[in-house]
Amino acid sequence: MLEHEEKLVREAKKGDREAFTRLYEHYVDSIYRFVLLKVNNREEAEDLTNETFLSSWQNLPVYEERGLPFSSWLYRIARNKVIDHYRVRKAPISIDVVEEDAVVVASNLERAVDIALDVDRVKACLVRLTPEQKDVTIMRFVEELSHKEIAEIIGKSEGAVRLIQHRAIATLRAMLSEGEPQTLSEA
Amino acid sequence: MEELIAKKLKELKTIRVSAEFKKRSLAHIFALPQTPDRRDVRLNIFESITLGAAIVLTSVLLILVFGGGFGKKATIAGEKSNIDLEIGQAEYFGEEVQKEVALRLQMLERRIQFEGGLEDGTKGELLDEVQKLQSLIE
Repeated sequence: MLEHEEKLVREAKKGDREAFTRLYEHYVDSIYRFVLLKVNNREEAEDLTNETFLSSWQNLPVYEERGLPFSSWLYRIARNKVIDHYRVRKAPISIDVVEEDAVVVASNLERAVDIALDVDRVKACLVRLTPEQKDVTIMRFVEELSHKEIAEIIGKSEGAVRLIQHRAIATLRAMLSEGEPQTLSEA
Repeated sequence: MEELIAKKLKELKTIRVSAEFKKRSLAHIFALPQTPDRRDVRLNIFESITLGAAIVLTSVLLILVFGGGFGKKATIAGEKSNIDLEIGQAEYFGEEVQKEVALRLQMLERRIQFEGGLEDGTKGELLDEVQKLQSLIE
């Protein structure tokens, strides 16, 4: 959590751009990563990240603090933006545009060599999880949020979050150990 | 294996947005205004509507009591235009306020209907005005 976050939020609520910029600077990478790992397209991730912060800026006056970090609210907005995004755009998503390090479809030779787990394979398998498993996995393992925060963001109990996490890891483990093919589409 | 997966997932934390994106995004965000606090707006609108409805009610009651034909239409027309404007704003800001106005208008309607000593023509005219207001919030 950002130092003096509550004060910054209060100031930003009143329209203080400097305060909002500090919140933005602190959280923009996290939100971008979350969105990018969900949509697998850099341009779309940028657009949705921008929309998330735009919504937060516009709706800050009605934001109610509930003892959770400001980021919980941002993740909720981002999550809804991604859901809306897929509601409108139903086409399958290509994974070959993830960041600069596009996911490698391993050749037989590469597979033989690349027994060790590499980050691209994990990323490729991550995309194959259900949207809910993806949310929990990204928030828990990439962003290191607590189960409580995740529960608040996705509107489930902490127990349910742990269960989703457990299933996600089991699915990832199965995919990685079986050398799942890496042609993907968004659930 | 699980630990390894967690470790690899953590490596994804190196993904960041570009400085150019941040600059562009912030410029876009600040080009647009914040939405006013709806609770404040709602409160203001609610107060003005309550006031507006009270004025209408008072005017109608005065008409009922004094049966004045001359000032009646002018008073109702004036108050109606006030409340028209307020209802227009209320429609934008939420159902809560609309319900409140609808309830007040219903009460007013019943009062006119059951008011004794009022000519049918006057009653009909007053009811027409109330119905016009009701149609605005439906």
